Amino acid sequence: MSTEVEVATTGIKVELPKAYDDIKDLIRIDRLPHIWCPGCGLGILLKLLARAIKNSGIPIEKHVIVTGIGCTGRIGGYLRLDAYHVTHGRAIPFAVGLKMANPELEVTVVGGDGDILAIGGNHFIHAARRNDDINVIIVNNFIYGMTGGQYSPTTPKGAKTTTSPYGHFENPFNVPLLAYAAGASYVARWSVLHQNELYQSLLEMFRVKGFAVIEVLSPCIIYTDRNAMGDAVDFMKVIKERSTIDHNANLADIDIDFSMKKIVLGNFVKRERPVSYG
Amino acid sequence: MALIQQDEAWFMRRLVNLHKMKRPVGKILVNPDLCKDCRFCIEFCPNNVLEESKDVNFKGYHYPVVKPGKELDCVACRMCEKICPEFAITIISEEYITYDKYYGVSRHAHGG
Amino acid sequence: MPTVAELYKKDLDKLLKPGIHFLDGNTATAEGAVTAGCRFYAGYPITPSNEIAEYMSYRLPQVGGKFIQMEDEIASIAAVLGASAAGVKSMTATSGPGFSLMQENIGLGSMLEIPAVIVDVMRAGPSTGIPTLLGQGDILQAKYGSHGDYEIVAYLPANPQEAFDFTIKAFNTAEKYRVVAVVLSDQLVGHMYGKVRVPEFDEIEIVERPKPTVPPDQYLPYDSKYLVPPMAIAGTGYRVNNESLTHTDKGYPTTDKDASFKLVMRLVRKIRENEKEIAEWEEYLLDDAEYVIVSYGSTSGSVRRAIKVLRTQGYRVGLLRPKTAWPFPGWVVENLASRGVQKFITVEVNMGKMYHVVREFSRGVPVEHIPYAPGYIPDPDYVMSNVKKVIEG
Ligand SMILES: Cc1ncc(C[n+]2csc(CCOP(=O)(O)OP(=O)(O)O)c2C)c(N)n1
Ligand code: SF4
Ligand code: SF4
Ligand code: SF4
Repeated sequence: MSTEVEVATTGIKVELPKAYDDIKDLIRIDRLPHIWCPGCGLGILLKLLARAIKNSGIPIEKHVIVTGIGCTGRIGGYLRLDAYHVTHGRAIPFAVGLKMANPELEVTVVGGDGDILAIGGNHFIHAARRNDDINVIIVNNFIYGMTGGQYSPTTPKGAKTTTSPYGHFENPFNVPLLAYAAGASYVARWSVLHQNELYQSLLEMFRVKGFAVIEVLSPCIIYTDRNAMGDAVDFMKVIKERSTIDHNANLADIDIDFSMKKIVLGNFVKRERPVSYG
Repeated sequence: MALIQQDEAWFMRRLVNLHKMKRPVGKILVNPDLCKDCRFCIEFCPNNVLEESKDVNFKGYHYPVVKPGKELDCVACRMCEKICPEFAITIISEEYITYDKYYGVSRHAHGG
Repeated sequence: MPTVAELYKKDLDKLLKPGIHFLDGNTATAEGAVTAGCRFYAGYPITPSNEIAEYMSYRLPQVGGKFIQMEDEIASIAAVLGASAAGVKSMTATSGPGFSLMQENIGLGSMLEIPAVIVDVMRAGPSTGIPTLLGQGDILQAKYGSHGDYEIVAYLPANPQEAFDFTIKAFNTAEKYRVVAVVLSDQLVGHMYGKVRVPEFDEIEIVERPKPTVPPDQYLPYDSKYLVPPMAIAGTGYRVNNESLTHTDKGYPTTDKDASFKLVMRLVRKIRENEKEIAEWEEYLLDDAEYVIVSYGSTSGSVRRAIKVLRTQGYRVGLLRPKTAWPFPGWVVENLASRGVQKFITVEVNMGKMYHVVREFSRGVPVEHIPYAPGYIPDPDYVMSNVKKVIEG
């Protein structure tokens, strides 16, 4: 049975197809269609995350989503869970507070590359260092989407953005290497095209005790537009053609440069490290 | 060259037990109002089943429809469903089709 | 209203015992918090508030609470809000520079309506200022420091006893109205030793946040039918969206005119409509006063002494000491103005902060400020000579 709900903003009736019966309880159907652009990868992550939460074996009411500001930060608002949409960059410390106050909660932070690694960068490395028992999904779309396409800490050198019109002069973060070096227990990188792998990785993240990081590569049409990379479809095709899976990759070696010639994906790190306040 | 070889292979199989071999045939459900015309489903369908509609939805987006003549080509792999960021396209996989029927219809469609 | 005796039955032997103690202001603040039920502390070291964090790191584990030293003050207040969202009374303590860093998330606490307590042990500014010495320059920042419209509550302790009492009050008000409550202590109050009487546990009333009484499917997180909607705790099955964007009653982001205005109205109304209940102040020799000195915190001690002497010299001066900076007891100033007071004189360690607030309510009666910001409170002589100058014109 599918549920039909009238959307408050548009007045149209939206029905969640039968194929989503398993997660219909987890999606705020009355808020669809969501705000993301055509071709944005966030909608795909939303579905996968809902399924992973559903099948995590952890009671749904114990799952808490904390997000900062950005397109990615909107994901919590579409999940029928305890969700906290907090200030830009501050999702991780808010999540740390939640988890410390009630260790029974399964707290997951979802944020953009700017949200987690620029304004929230300090919180990210310190939570990894402490190995706080929370999950962090970093949606890397190589740009600040929400504010209209400025460069972010993952924008590759050379890329054009609204604030790097001559091509970006800076070097980007290598996210898995950073997470590993800072102390995360679990580090993976997937893309929204790698549905099955990403889904398994999300499930693994819920099982891991300690700081779990998944970098999710996702198309943003603001980025592809600026850089004459075609549209989201073309970006997805690049990921499809150029990505290789290597779970044992040398993390120092997996930067993604502007050419995107080499995209290494995998479940890179899983290690036992004492958890703070565990 | 390659195409001919493949055709021959199919031909061989057709000769053997076409009426016994079956595969799922998907029913494609699209909710036009949820679609934003990102074309993921169209581009990543392994069988090239879909194309853009002539019509637009209430937001002005084209949405996927089945290409004429491809009505039986969906193999219910669900790639379109999985890759759709919008909950807009889903597949019902309840029916099966035997290859003799499939090719029969197929030939008819192309020959007509 | 429940009391400490009822609520924390099994912890009573671990709390600071009723009776007389000799404590510094910062320790009194920390003990006040523990007595009020605070079980989570997140902070970042900064003088002159450090004793609070150090004491909490030792004290909280004894009562089953948790302490964490975060990477900065922004993280500290964020963690405090997170812990409170999970149902645990939480606090942080800081001083000027850290308080400035917390401002954005004070707005977050106000928007998500998460009870939290911040102790700001004020020091001399601006910028890094004089870390070890006092200032009273954060008064306006406490209320207006974050962007947009919201209301907070702020207490102004003047001695260790009040540091203890007002911290309990701050927790109670934060919980009752689901707001951020600030204890605006200062370096002198924080480091001053004094007598602290802990009341009997059945005399200390404790307020807890309103809890939902309806099942999850009927619950609205920001139900505008209430001034202070019941608060669902994370993990209890209510599964609501707690939204920092302007939101509807349901917690969904909105740009709708009516919904936006309704929300902001409620966020300020919950304090403004209860200001008479929340605001506290002390009146000293005001009955026949022609000149009213407005002063607060540690400075008020020096002013009190000055008034005593001035009275012996025939000056009809009195003291109005707000115990809450916010809500400010403006009607008390109004009543004094209507009664025919000649002048209001503000004495605070800054270049004029509460001065502006008094002017707002003084109904045309002149208000003069005695500027003083060298890192110390003015001594009684300084107050006396300057007050005389103001009176004699
Ligand atoms: C303190 C603060 N600074 C800046 C902003 C403006 N802002 C909103 S979203 C954003 C960046 C979003 O980029 P990212 O985190 O990569 O997420 P995306 O939108 O790409 O998913 C910025 C700078 C803000 N909301 N708050
Ligand atoms: S701007 Fe980019 S990240 Fe934001 S919704 Fe659009 S495609 Fe997605
Ligand atoms: S299920 Fe597979 S074959 Fe069928 S339309 Fe979707 S992608 Fe194409
Ligand atoms: S993938 Fe979904 S949103 Fe994109 S075109 Fe297909 S149906 Fe529409």
